[in-house]
Amino acid sequence: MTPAVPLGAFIAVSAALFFIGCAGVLTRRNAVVILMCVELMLNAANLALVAFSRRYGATDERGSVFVVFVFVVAAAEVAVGLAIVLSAYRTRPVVNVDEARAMKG
Amino acid sequence: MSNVLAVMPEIVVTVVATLVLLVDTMLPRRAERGWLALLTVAGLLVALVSGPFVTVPGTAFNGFVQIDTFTTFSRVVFIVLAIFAVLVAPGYLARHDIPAGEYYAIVLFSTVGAMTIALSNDLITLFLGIELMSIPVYALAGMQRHDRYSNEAALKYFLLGAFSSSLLLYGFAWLYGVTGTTEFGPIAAAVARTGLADGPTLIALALVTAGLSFKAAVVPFHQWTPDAYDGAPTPATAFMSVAPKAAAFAAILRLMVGGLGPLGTDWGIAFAVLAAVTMTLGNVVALAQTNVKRMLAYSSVAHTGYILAAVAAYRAGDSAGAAVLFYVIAYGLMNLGAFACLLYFDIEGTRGATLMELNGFARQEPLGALTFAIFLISLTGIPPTVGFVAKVFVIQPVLDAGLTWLAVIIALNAVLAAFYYLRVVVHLYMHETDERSAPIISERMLNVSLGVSALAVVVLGVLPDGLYAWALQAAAPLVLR
Repeated sequence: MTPAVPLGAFIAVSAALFFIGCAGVLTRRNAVVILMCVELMLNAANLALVAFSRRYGATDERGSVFVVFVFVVAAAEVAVGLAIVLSAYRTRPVVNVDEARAMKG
Repeated sequence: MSNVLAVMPEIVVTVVATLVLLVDTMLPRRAERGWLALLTVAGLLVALVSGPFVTVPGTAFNGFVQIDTFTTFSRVVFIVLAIFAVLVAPGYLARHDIPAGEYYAIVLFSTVGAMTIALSNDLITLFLGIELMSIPVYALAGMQRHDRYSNEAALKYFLLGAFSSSLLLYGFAWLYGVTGTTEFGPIAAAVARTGLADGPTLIALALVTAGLSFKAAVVPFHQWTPDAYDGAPTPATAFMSVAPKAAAFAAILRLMVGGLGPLGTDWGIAFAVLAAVTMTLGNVVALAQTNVKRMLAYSSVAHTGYILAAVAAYRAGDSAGAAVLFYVIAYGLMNLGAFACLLYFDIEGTRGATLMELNGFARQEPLGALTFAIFLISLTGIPPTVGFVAKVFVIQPVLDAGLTWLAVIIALNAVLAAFYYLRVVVHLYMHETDERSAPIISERMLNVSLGVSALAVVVLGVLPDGLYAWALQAAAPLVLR
């Protein structure tokens, strides 16, 4: 019998991950780092979903199912995202998003 | 088996998309690819017809999927928009060396995502639909791979899109946490019991609102819109500006009205304020633009505001939902058409024509100029076009819901918008061709599809009743009684 970790602990970790990711997206200027921060936010949501799913385990397991789908979506998103970053790098060899400002107005 | 039949149109579109990709790889590199567009359109027509024949109303896949009048209506909207977007593209794709097969396949995959949003009955299906709709569109924005602007558009669209998706997902996680279910019906029942009593519900509501606002380009979550629309290849912009927006509003109707309707007193006023800010800012910034493509990008932000006003008036019942759906169709036809009219001008890269480059277009291409003018007049909201009728249908529920101030702001914004739309018409008709005018390209497929949609804009403006009655039916399942 493992000692039960309270739901609040999971949610606290998940919220911390989410805010770290969010702060990273808003402050970092490297496109790849921003992408990593977005992944962190997605994983924060995954952790919250799994934690809630364990709480509602008796009536509803859909939270765990949701997480499996999020894995797939996140993988697809990274594949397209890295391709876009790479393609942008080829036309203009910088990954700093502040440099991507040819369009204004 | 009935599960498979329920999603038959989606399956057909997916099969057509893979078929197009397959055929494209088997063709020789230099072969003519214009007819791939016709194959795509044929597949979409099969999907359009298969909908009413094989799917039966009700839920499927253990409650993950719901087929109702809203689903049927939205499927038709998304398929029609995709057909239109495919038909205007071939000439541009060939001229700018964009891989045509991949382009059509991406449009099709995005359409499947939009259709999935319309049939979702669960947060999981909804999230999958939103992502399946958005991810292909990021790639679409960057299709002109050797163009710096196209890459920049894709990068900005992708980073902000992925960020908004993660906000939305975190909101969904909290929503599951507070209600204990992911299905819309039980979510509505749970929030109706508790109301907005506690912090977690508020967090969930705020995150979901922000996430969906990003997708629909609501101010202040619109910053990606002008750059993404401006830098993307023009036919891609035409598609991006309408289908993802229509899909975002399908998601808003399904989730905010269908699932979180009992909290409407809390989000309704927020949406009303966001709508007012969105339309005003969109129009004011559009006034300052000299590049028509960028001007249309800001004007599409303004139109988001009008549609959102109808969502905020959800209390008026069916007529509010019907106004959203009607405006989405009207906006889809006229905005896709207006962006597609920029395809007449042969300009290097992805840039759109400036006002000066439009000079004398009416002399060289009278029919093209006429369709462009019809789309612009409809966007302004002048009768007898569908844009006018759509605004009337929006203002009615807004007044019924007691938001008189919002109705006044809509009317004032329509006046503001007239200035910059009609300025384009002036350049088309009242300026002579000069050394600044852009060279013009005329293609039969572009002419015909723009002509048909301009005709639809006028016909629906004169005879809107049939479509409106259908929109009323489609809005019925979303309203809580």
